[in-house]
Amino acid sequence: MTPWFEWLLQAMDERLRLRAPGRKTLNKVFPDNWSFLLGEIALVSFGILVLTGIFLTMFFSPSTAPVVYDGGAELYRGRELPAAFESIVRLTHDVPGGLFFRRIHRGASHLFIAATVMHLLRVILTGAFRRPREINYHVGIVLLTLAFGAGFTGYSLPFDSLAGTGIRVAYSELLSFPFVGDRLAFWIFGGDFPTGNMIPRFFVFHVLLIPGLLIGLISLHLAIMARQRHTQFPRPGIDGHRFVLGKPLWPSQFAITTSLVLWTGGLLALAAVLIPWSDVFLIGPYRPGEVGNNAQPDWFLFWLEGALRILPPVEFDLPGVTVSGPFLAGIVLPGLVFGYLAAYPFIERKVYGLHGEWHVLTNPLEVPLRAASAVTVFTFVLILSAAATNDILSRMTRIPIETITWFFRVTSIVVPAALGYLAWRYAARRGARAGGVASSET
Amino acid sequence: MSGRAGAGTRRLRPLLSWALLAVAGTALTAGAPGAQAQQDAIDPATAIQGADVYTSQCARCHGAAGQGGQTPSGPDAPALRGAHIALVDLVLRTGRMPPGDPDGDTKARRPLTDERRDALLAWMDDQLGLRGEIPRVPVGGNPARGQEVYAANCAQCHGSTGGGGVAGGGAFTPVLVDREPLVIAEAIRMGPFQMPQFGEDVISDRELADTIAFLEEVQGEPGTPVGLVELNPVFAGAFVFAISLAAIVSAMWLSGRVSMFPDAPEDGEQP
Repeated sequence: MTPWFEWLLQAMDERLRLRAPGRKTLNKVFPDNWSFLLGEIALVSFGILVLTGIFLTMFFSPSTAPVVYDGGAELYRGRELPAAFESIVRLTHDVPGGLFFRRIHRGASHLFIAATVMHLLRVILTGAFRRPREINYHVGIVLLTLAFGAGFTGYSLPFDSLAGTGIRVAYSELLSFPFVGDRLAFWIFGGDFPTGNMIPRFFVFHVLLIPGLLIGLISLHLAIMARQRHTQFPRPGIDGHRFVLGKPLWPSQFAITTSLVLWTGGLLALAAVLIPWSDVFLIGPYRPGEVGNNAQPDWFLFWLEGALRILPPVEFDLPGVTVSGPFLAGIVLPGLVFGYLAAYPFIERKVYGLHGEWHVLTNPLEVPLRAASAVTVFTFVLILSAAATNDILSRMTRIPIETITWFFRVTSIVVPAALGYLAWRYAARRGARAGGVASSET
Repeated sequence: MSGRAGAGTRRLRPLLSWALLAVAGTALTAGAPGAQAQQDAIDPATAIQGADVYTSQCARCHGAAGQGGQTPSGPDAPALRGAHIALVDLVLRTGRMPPGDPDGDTKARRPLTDERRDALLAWMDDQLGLRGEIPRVPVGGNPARGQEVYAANCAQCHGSTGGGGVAGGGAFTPVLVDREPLVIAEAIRMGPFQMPQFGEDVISDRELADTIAFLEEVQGEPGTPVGLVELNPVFAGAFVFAISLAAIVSAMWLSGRVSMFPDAPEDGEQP
């Protein structure tokens, strides 16, 4: 094999002049830490999503027109179903491996978003977003938003009872925009809910628009990462701003990445056998107007669902427009959180009067603003997420749902504020001992 | 069944009064519709067993004459005289009554044996003048049609797959899988507690059979090797947490470097 590879590489090099940039890339230094692999897990999950997604696309019918199912699933044979749901039943019951690939796809989507969120947390907490890496940080935030969009549209496509309920909520959220709401809803849905356009359009968003943007921006994210130096954790006795300590891409990091691909693939395949997270066989197709008692979105939208559930029914008039609860909980709240995320690198720089570039990561417990912001926002989102499960918590604890709702109304404000204050106090003391926030600037 | 030894004498007095009441009741309602049922004598052994169950497990709260009363813990116990027979049967079959804990913890579910329940019901029907009748359980339903009937009439409160839900104000809609078909039929036809009643004009006998068949289909769904059947997103979220942890552990294992920051300097120590 080796002579063939040599010949191939030689031929490529003669035509594309790869030797110099190739060597530089292969020698790129990757510092060693488990938390640097979170982004790679997201990347691997994305690859699995694309591959399984291509398979699923072949068998999916993006339409809500009624068709009669005549496959092997007894519960549905001879029934008229929305075409999208019918194709999911067919995929599950009549396509060999269909259910397995659907479950892997769903599991990979969960892991993709979870790993992206953990990666973001790592970047925020350790200060990897600081100059000169704000640019890649912002690309990353756009990627997370797109991942949410891909997750939501994918949840909607099977057009089962939960999916339809989710689309209904999204439609109302769009309508709640002041001034432009009805136009916006019309542009995206092509009419009043439920329209025949929803599933075809969501299909285009899910298999073309969002993945296209994701692939482009992930490439940009990686190119910027390759172009810039990798951040590293502080090591005693080493000036991390001048030297990067780590392993080269080839062969060390490549070996780790290969193992990670195998681990993640195995994990998702095992999960697909054991965990039926994409099954919609019993819950049945969506019928407009019929909502099950147990309707929740996927976990990454729990915080918005929770905000919708616990926000008291507010509605007030501003000149020429009515502002409603769904707008505050579903649009303003995520707008504020993502706005703060995007603005944070500049805020930290301004507040601490920082200059220059940062290549060594800092302990968040030594930067009061960062510790307080991270703790406050994270606990706030976590408590709102818990509020989205208020019906299930109520059933488990036998506490009336109204009491639980009030509990979350209070704790979602008090607990993040209190923990944020404590984090600030602790980080201020510890940071002062460590020599202040600007102590390791280049 | 505590205090069984002394039960014999305690049992006789109410029995006598029941006999008197029954005579009076029969005299009063003779000729009224439904009187025929009350005149059908029940087997004496059944009557004795039913009376025994009633006096030992019901009379304390609901009163010796089924007139209602108070539970030891405070809340009112409803009158049983003239109650709907399907409601009484449903409450007994699902184990809501008699309380599993004699001191009145109504959340414990310990249903009577079939024999004791049937005796109690026959005796109550005979002595307390229960109204209505136990609905028929139509058989041979089609689960496919049942899913549509269920989605249109039941899912709003009981969840899309019969998992139960919240009804507000501390009330909960019960789980519907693993229920006897008769209980489903009784609930639909009679509308127990806060549940609305569905007559044959809303859910026909055939649709009732379909609904029961659908719930049996849900119950029989095999699930994965670890026994999981379709997950609500909340439980799916718990598994997302689990695979995220597995991913973190594999990242730690692969990189071999778990520590992140050097230890914090102690107070007074120079960084």
